[in-house]
Amino acid sequence: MHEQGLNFLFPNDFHIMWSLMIALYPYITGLVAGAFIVSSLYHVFGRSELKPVARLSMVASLSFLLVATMPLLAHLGHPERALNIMLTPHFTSAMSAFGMIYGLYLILVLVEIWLIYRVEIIELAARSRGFKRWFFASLALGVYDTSPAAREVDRKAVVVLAGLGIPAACILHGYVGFMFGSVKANAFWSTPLMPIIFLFSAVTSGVAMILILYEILCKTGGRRIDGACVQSLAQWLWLFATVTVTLEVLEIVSLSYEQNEEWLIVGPLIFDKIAFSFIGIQMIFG
Amino acid sequence: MTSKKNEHSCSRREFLSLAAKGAGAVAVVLFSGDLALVSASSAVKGADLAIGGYDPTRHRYIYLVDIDKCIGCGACVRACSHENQVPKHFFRTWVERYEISRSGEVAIDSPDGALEGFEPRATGEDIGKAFFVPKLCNHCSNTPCVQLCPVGASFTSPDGVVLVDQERCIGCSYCVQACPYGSRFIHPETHTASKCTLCYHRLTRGMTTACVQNCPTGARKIGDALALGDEVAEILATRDVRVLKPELHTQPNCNYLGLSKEVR
Repeated sequence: MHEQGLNFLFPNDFHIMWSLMIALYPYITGLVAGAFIVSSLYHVFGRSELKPVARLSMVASLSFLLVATMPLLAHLGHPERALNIMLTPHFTSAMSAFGMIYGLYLILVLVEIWLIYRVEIIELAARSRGFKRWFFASLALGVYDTSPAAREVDRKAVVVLAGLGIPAACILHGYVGFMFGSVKANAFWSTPLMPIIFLFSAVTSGVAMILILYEILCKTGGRRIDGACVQSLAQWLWLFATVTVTLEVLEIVSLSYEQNEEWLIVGPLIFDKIAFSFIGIQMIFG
Repeated sequence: MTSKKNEHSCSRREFLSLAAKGAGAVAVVLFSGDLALVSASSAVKGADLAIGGYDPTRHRYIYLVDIDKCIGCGACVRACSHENQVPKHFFRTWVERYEISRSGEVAIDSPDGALEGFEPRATGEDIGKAFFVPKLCNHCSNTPCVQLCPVGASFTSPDGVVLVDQERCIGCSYCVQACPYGSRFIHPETHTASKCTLCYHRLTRGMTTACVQNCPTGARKIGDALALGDEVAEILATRDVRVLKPELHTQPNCNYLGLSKEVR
């Protein structure tokens, strides 16, 4: 009773509809969420050894956020109708929350970055002339108060926003996990653990990305690499990677232990068909 | 200095309140625009449905496949492909061949969806039973594809047919992923989700579907649960019928007579 016809694919399923572009999107939002968590470790939880990368991670988070939708647009059959998700959302669909979650998070990150860089923007505006002055002055949004009291207000606002940003980043990415995890037609994805697995792997790749980016920027910019900061990042990376691998293994082990029908499909899939891409690329390299 | 500071903090407060008002205004515009769009589209749908005197609320379609009658000729697949201009290597309906040996080995195939039927297979296995399973969209009452569509392009019409609004579909293929029966695909030319419509253009004109009409053995039947003395409704009420993957609770409206337990 081994051969249960599991190698059979429905004729329409020969065409893979969710391919590289769909794999890229969660990877990028993962970097967004991971980078944000790094900056929040400093801003909210006072991990001062992470100060050298606090701003870098905020900017990295925003940059990846801005390009996150590109693979999605490349994937859509009708990218020109993409805004329909925001304009006419169908609320029973997890995907319809995209606009709201993405938009709120974008606003939050923009405001936080503005508050963090506000004083620099004002100083730059004061120092420069011509178009540059006009540009930075308009970035300052008409507020030129750099007094200590105002900076204190900024700092407090950043703490609040970074605090709010943690759940927001988790929702942004965890919700992508939910979108995959709630597809009951796909045995491998369909688990409530999916958002959590997504989150921890996101933070893992986010921390790793910041670590690599920081070293590259220091090397190219000729700056000294802060040892304590790298040490701390590496420790966080180890912690999050451990949790991620534990969760992923937990999912596979519980699937195999329960011996449900799902395992008949997932088992051979992992150890035979996608062994290289799953174990090799995702688990070890990823 | 203090007066200057006050001036500045005041300007910040003004800025914040202005920003809040601006965001509110944007939200109001978006939300009202949304409502207008929704009401406009439902009005259009209502007008469309009234055309030709067809009233979708007075029908409730049910589909029946009699496994014992199917000979795997593929006439239904060809008819569907022709009637609905289905692109090559994509299928709104297809036929699977099951061959189960006496030792329990299951072999399934569906060469090009059985568009040209099946070639005999010399497996050398001691075949215990073999049969054909025609498949199509199950037009589920509790369908994940309609639930998952982010823009509401997939919908269930009042007569129970699951349809896709081609003008609204963004081609994300979330529904293709979500269908447990593999009955959806992204059309390579329109780039939108495509699937069996139960030949809705024919049903609404009082005709039957292309697959039912072209089945030489009567293995495929379509019925109307709201019609008096309907043959399919009678079979559903009195015979042992099964649906595919009942454990997923999608409540399919495509029923099978004589379905073997090996069928997925």
